[in-house]
Amino acid sequence: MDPISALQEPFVQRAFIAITMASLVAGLVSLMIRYSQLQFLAVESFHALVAAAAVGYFVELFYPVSPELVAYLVMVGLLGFLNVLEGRVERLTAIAALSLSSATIISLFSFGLAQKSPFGSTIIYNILFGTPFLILQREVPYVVLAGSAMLLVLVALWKRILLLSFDPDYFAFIKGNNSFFLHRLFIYAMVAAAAVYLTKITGAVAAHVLLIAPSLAPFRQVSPVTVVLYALLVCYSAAFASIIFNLPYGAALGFFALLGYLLPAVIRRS
Amino acid sequence: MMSLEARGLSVSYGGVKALEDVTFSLRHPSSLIIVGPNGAGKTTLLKALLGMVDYEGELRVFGLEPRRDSQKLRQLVSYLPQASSVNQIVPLKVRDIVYSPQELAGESREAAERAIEITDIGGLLERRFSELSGGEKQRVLIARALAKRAKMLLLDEPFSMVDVGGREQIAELLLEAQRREGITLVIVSHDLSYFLKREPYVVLLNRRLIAFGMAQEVLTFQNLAKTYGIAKVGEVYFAGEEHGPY
Repeated sequence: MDPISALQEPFVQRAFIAITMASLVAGLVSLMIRYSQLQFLAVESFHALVAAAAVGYFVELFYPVSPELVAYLVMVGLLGFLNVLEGRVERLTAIAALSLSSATIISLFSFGLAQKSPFGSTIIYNILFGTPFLILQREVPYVVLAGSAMLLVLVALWKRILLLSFDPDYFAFIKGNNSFFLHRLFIYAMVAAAAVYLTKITGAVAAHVLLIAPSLAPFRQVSPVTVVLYALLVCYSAAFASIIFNLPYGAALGFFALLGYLLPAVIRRS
Repeated sequence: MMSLEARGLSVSYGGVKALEDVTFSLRHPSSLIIVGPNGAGKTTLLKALLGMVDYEGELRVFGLEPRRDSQKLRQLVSYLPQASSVNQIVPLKVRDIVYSPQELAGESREAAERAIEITDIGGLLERRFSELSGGEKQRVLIARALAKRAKMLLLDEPFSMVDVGGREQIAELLLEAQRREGITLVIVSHDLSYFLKREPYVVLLNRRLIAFGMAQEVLTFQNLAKTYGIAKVGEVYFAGEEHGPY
């Protein structure tokens, strides 16, 4: 499809609104993950967010509740479980416990979805490999509102997040253990919110890329501006590539994210 | 007035004793150096004094029980954690770090300005922390500790990022801060030599209390041998005239 005429299509316009918001959220959250040294959490978040989404869509079959809200609550529960475990056992043991719990939940609830709904397999496919081109008109205000709310919270608390990440021991001393725990939980809750939000827009596989890739790109100067620009560039390029070459969005996103890692190295070498 | 009183203090992590039956007391203002090998419980002792870990036994800091009165206690003490707890990829400017007690705990701006003056870091305020030398970084972290008005300053390895040449400067800075502010200094350090001229108290620790008292009385060959094991004693400076520096 010609990209210029494609931009006249409402479903493409909706997709670009959604990926613009997704890029802003992903850029800041991935930077928060890097500063808080929670890359392990971002890597492990994949199991948790697929589990959360599976529960969300399963519950929607029986109750009129938003699957995203249920997914978010399950995700917060799983990451909160990890946060509590981390204070009691080795970090690797805590991660393994989260991974195993998530895998059990994924298996049970995706089986349930496939059994109880004629569209179960499609739902599971969309959880994993969704695309921004499937965003509906009625979902656009929610996408914009939820993204803006996350951005506002992040910007308002950015300095505090940096101070906590800079010296956790000092932060724990000056704010007290309970406040320190709550601040850590807040960071986990933001990761959970971003993971569910990005999964809604791009599917879990691409959301996982967006949580990790932007802040780890090999820039000379890592800052919120460079990281958000990287995320925007990768997301837009992937959208155009999807339109022109009829590629799955996740595959195009992975390709351009990788290109963003390799190009600076090649340019520096030459 | 007593600043610290510990009686039968013990701390365990998952059933393993990190500190066992430690008893000592300290007047205010004074200096205390906590010495011991790695894993001796030095940082754990500091964290117990700050109410950051659970403990058994009796512990009072300015008459307060650290676990129960942790909020009140935080108004009386300040803390410099180990440099290894600092995450240098976070792009904070020196100004953000020194004023963080104001941002996080509502401390006065004047306290931060006074700390900047004492530590002489006025020229570094707009620079990124990660761009500073080891000595400058440590001065910034000490300034942050001083920017919180306190009667006691607890420092965990204040020389860890500093080369030998800069250590004397840091020690002088701490002693000057103590003189000007009238505070009690509690310092975990492997390097006693810079503080000995002020006749500090010394705790020799190896999970259990080996000895406590004035440096000259405590730093004997026998005590150091008990603390470090015979092979390591030669690495530690002695204060007593009969021994001289080894």
